[in-house]
Amino acid sequence: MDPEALYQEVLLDHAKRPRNREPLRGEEVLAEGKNPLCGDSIRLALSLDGGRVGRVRYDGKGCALSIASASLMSEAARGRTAEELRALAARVARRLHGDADAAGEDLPEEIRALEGVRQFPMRAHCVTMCWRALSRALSRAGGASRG
Amino acid sequence: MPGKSRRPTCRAGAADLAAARSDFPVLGHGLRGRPYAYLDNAATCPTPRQVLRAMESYYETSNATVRRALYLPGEEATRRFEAARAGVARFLGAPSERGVVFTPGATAAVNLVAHGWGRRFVRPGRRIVVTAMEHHSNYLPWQRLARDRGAVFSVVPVRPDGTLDEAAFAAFLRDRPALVALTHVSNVLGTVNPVADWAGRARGAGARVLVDAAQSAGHRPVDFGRLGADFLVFSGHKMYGPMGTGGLVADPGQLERMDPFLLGGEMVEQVGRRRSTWAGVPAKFEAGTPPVAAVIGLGAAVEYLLERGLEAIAEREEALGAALVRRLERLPGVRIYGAAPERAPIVSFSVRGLHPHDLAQVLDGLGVAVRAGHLCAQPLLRGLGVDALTRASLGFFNTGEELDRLAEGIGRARRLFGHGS
Repeated sequence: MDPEALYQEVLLDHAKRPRNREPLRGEEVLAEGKNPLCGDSIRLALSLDGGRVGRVRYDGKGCALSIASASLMSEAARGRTAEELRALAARVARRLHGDADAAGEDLPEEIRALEGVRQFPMRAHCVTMCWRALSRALSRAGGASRG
Repeated sequence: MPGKSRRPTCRAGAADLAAARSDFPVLGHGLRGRPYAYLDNAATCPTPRQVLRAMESYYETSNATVRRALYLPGEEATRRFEAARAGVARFLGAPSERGVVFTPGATAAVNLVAHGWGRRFVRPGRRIVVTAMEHHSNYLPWQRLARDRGAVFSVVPVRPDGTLDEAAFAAFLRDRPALVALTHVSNVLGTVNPVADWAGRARGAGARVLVDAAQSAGHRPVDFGRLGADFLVFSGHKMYGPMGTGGLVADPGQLERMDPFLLGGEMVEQVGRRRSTWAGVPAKFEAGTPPVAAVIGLGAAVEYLLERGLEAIAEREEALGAALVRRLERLPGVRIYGAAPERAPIVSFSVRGLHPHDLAQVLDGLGVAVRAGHLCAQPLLRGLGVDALTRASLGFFNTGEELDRLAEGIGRARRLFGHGS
């Protein structure tokens, strides 16, 4: 695949106009992610309402893929349960990091634009960083509400 | 011919060097359906056919270990292996062949010195001086040594123009440091450091000097004696040789006083129950079976470079480097880092609104290979206030047309990400 196809419309749109991205206050941050190889970073906040995610918000900086991934993730997260999201995060990791046999089915339509990254394994970390942070944030949020 | 000093009968001119492009099979393949513009020579250089043939020939006709086999192919392997050592010794101005230790690369060579010399001779409270522009391989071993030995770890800062802070260096020399570790050419900024001058001053202050020639060997004349180093490290694959080769150049007497790094076969004289004695130098530092084919390939790379002439190569690289800077300076939104008076064709830059990874990805799609990331120099990039940069680094075979393609690619990436032209 031509790299310019990687940056197709959906990804570019989310990279240039990321949804749900806003400056967070320190105390809201549930999880952070960082890619030391290039300095991409993300901080996540989210709320759980009756076990379902209300809104995921994030700030940080990074390459277009990491921003687009976080934006797509934030939209896909809304209304899903913590378990569903953890499973989805694991599926994204398998699909993009894993070998062909373990890869499983295509990603759900809301985040299918990320499929292109499979052909560019060096960029997988850019995309999965926010999903790993999401899993950690969900554990924290779940713990807090049980507290 | 191995073992003989060589004067090429005809110095290569710019046209010859550009034509030498056809010596590199990998450059002929094309990238993403376009001619392959390889601009990542600071990471590794392409390997000429002459080197590949030498390695293949070894495996086809010799394929024996060195120094041990008593049959003819073994003798042949040893002859070619040691001829490569002799070639490298002449190429880098080593005091003798016994002063060339083969290692897997410059990184291993620095670690060897940190272990074999540093752990033995650096006392608590002594100062170890490195610079902020060092590659991690010439930074981390000294950081750890200082911590382990209770030594002071000092870092010479880099000035905004990409040169080293001389006043800071002078200050560090005042209490007679144990070691100064210094790169000849920066893999990020392209800065050519005044090594001979600084080495002289360091030695005058009682310090040992280690010079990292990874980016200079094979690109400009490098002479161990004239640079005034105690230790010089180099990397084979950055001078058109195979990966897995490189080494340390030092005075044999210095090597004799050092402890070996890896222990095992080849480097030992007598193995006793409780104690053993080591072989002489350089064998003491070459435990295990070496990468014989690769070292023979390295010898062929040295011959290849001598035939083309290092002065001609250096001139061409300088011209290409200047052209690259001029080309990039004209582009809107591009910021070039470093502007040293003497500069290798290694240029790191940022483009406003573009992350280095995205830029490198778009350039890949256009058949242009550059490097993006922290460039194994996090202290330097932190000092520059960035996490990652994009870097273009040239070899003598690159062309002006490839620089144009880089510039066009940058423009295209800017438009793709919505930053106008």
